[in-house]
Amino acid sequence: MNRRPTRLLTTVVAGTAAAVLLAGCGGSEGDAKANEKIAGADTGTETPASPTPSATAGRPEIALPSDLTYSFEWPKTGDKAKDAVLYDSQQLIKAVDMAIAEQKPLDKGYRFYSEGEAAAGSQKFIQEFVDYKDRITGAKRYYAAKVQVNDGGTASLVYCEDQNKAYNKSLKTGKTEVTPQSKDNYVLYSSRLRVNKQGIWVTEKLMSQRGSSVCQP
Amino acid sequence: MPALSDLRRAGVVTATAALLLCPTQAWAGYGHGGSTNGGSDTAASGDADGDTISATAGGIVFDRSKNGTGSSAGPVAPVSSWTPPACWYAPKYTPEQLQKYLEPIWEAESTGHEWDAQQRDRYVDGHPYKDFNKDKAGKGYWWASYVNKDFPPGWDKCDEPIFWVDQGAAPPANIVNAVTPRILAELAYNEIRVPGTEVTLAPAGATKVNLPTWAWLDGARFRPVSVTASVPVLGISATTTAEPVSLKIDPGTADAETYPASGVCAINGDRIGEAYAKGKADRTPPCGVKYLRSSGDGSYRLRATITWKIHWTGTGGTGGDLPEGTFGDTQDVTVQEIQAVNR
Repeated sequence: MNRRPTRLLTTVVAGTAAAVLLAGCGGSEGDAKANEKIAGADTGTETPASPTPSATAGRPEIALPSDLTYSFEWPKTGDKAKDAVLYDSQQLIKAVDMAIAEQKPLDKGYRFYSEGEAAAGSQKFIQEFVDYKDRITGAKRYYAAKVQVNDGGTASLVYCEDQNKAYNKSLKTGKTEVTPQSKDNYVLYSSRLRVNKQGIWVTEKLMSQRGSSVCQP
Repeated sequence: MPALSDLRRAGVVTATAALLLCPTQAWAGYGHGGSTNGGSDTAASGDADGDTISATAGGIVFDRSKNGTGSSAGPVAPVSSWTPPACWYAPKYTPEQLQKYLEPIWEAESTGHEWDAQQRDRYVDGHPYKDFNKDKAGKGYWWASYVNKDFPPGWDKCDEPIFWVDQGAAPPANIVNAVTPRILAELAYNEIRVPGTEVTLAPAGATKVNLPTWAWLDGARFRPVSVTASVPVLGISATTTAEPVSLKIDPGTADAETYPASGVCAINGDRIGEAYAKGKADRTPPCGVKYLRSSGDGSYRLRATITWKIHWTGTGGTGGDLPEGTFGDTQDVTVQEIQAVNR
């Protein structure tokens, strides 16, 4: 495991602007509390829940750190099944981030929305954050969603993520590891889903391509 | 303006501090070592780079040594609605490799017991495969789906679970898009890169209203390019070749005429258009443009597009034509009034 040391310049740089910047780099954020949660801490243009109330029953509660926000630029399609695919996929994204924040690689939340290879991949991804003792902070933006619902209760979804304003945050020091803007901060995802008995669209396979040309602005 | 210079100085300090203070993880918004949710399974994503070849049995290998190069090179766009396959099936694992790939996934507690049981039943317990087909090691391969890494429409059509094909046998009849020389040729089409098309104009720099302006391309840069795709474990390959056939010039304004009038200059040998030389001023350019109005303070956006004829040849005497493709670019042309010159 090649753990990257967080290099912090201790030299004091004069000037207010520089001080502000230091804070931006995670130097003086000063809160190591990992679990300040606000349920449903969402911003942006989120697609509202469209599934039927019966399908909503039994859904895990998704509670996220208040410094992690989402913008889902996913238009409502007007198609009930497609909107349900989009909604359940959003819940999966948030549930994985919740498992990361709570450092629970086997959290029930994301497993409610995924199975098989997709779940195994998420478990591995979450475990990395547990190993490094950090979580995700900042603002995540999702866009360019293309959803298709097939006969036989399967669906596919392709979407882009902009990670430019999302970072790792240490759970030990509370420091945010600010990273520069980069074309690699745009990630293309594709998922295959299947609707289960409870009417939940479960992600069975999730693939991604970091730095994809498809997602560049 | 002291205030401004102070601000500027502060800006310099800020920029320097940013460089010094935020150098870690230069390429990932979040995650570790570039990891993404869904990114751990790169072999399964099967991108077309052939870079999974060492980790897995199959995969397609591309030979791009005869492809177009350079920063201005780009892919051709098919002139029809045809697109290369978005997903396909090809050999991916030996029995041992499949075991190494699948068992850690089954062992992950998150996957769900029902799913695990179905998987084991299919690949271990004899419905229909027994113990990853280890007794057939060396006599065939596990085939699986590969997906174009841009996930274009249709990427999700290859949803058959991993299946076994004996060496030399045809894949099951229900498998659509099992790799063949033709599919290799179509995938190679996707990898074709052709040179950029900035045409040389005479006069260079600014041209004049009503002046026949000669246009040509460096013939040496516009030679056929090709990409070969192969599946080594199957012994099949296909080479897709693109040859330039014509140059189309769009002057970027309705107030212009082209030579020839169609705007399409055919390619003669390795010549596209004709280089202007002294003494040719009285001739009509074989390929070129005449602007009828000045571009004023701005410029026109001339678009030059090359059409490439594309064909392929593959293992077993296979081959044929694929849809023609185009690649072009725009360049700015300034057109001045003649009066401005004759002063």
